[in-house]
Amino acid sequence: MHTLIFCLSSDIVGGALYNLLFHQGERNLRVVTDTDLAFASWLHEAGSDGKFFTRIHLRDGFIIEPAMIKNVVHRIPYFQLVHFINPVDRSYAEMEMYALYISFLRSVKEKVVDGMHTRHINNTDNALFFYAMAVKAGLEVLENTFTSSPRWQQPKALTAVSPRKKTMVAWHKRTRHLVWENKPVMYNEPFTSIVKLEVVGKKFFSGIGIPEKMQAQVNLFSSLIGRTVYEISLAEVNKTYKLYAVNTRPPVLSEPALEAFSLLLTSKNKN
Amino acid sequence: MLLFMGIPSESPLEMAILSAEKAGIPYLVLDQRALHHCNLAIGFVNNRFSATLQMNDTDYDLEKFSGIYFRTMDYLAMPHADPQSLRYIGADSVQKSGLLHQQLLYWMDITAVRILNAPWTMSSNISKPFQAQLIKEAGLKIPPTCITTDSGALRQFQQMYPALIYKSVSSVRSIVKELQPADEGILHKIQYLATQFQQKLTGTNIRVHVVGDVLFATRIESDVTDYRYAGRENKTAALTVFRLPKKIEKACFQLSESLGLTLCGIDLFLTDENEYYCFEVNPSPGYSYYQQHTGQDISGAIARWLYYGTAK
Repeated sequence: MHTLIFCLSSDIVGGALYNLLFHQGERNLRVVTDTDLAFASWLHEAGSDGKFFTRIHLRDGFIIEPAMIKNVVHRIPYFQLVHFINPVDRSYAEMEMYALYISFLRSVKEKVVDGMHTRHINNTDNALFFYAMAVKAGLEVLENTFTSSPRWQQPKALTAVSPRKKTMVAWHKRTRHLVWENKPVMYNEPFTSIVKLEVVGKKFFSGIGIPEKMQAQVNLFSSLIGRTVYEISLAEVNKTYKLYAVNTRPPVLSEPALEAFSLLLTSKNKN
Repeated sequence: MLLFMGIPSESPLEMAILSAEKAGIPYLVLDQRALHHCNLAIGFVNNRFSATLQMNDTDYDLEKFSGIYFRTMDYLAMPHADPQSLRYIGADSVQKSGLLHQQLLYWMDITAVRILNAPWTMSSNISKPFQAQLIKEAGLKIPPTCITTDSGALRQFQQMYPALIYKSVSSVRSIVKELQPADEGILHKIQYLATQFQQKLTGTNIRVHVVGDVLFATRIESDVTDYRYAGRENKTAALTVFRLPKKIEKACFQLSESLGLTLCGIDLFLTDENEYYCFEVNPSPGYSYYQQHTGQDISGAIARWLYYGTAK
């Protein structure tokens, strides 16, 4: 029974997690890169019962089948199949490869950290979704406004209100095509610093102490976004911390966070 | 008020707009080709969310629309974004249009306004076998499927299911073709990219459109494997209104709900053995083709569901 770490060839977290688990004595481990999968022999099959069975035969002879999988760490957001020379073919092949990969993950979803939910398919992190869920979880959100029109700017730069005076409207009609209008901007509340908070299950790693109340809020936030291992950027405003951004696939993790991640996997193994 | 987003002359959108007009439902049309003339403000202030669209010098609180039907195309694929096109709107406007498209899609993922359909729910269609697993969980049968790079595995599959079709694995549109003996010579090419094969079933295509709490079933009689392209083979497809068994109707509603796709086009197949299979679910169905041939009021149902919360 193996722990499989699916990641890009260049993925630091995937490699570091492998090293850590290996040094902890775990031997049934495998890093499977996007390139490994691209050049593997695949069988993803459903018979009359509609249940999918998968066999992935890697180039070095390693065979992945559902029965040999304990855990799956999924960190491949896309495939780059540069060996398809024609750009149109490449684009098609990359979409096909990703479609196959996520279907395989779905078929072993109970073994995948965070499962494989439809919401996780599109890898674009929607900041508005995170803000909305943070508000639901009771977390403070850094005030922000995306606006595409300078005439919506107010002195404080955060409230989106359009002037209603007739003269202004007439003037705007004349000037609507001006280039200066075409500068969409995201405004944020001013902050003094950004602090990273790594979340691994119910453990938190940060340069600041996270109050108990906030821990409970982050736990609720994790369940609302359906993520176990991710990173929050907190913005400091008047000595309080507000959610600024979320990265569901952080490019690096601190050593304690990695250890917690490995513990998460090994404790899951014991179950 | 309803908001229709996309290209207003595109048939499904046009028909829904006409239905709203006929029903006396107030509406606003946002032509995505002119999105760079609009403005948008979306944000969180004091943990409160607001979203405002400015169009023709009028501000619309997006959260106050009763429903939104969107069929936006990829804005980068439109002539307006192509520097070689006479309709090119310029780099700044293309960038602005792109950001506004993106923000609107993000907003539609979090709003409580009725949307057909929330963008994230459409993702299951990115992978046909991924979606097939959800279809099976909703209680419908899926055809035996083999996705492989291995021609040996394919031959084993073919021993069990001699007649096969093949098609794309992803949402990239492909013409469904039957695997013919003449294809033997090119089968080795699957080693480069996994290809999806399915048992070729014999029977009749049934297209089901679910719109919230109503459902429209259409029977399609055609001699070709992929009836959508019958014209290309100088063949025809005859479409008629069809009545589904209650059990299958229930499964279709359940599937629509479990996928989060309040509006969807479900491709069913009724075999000669009187069994129902589901091929896939289209999250943004081009229903107009079916409505034009059968007179089923799908566009009216869309307008009603968006405005009243029921399509009945």
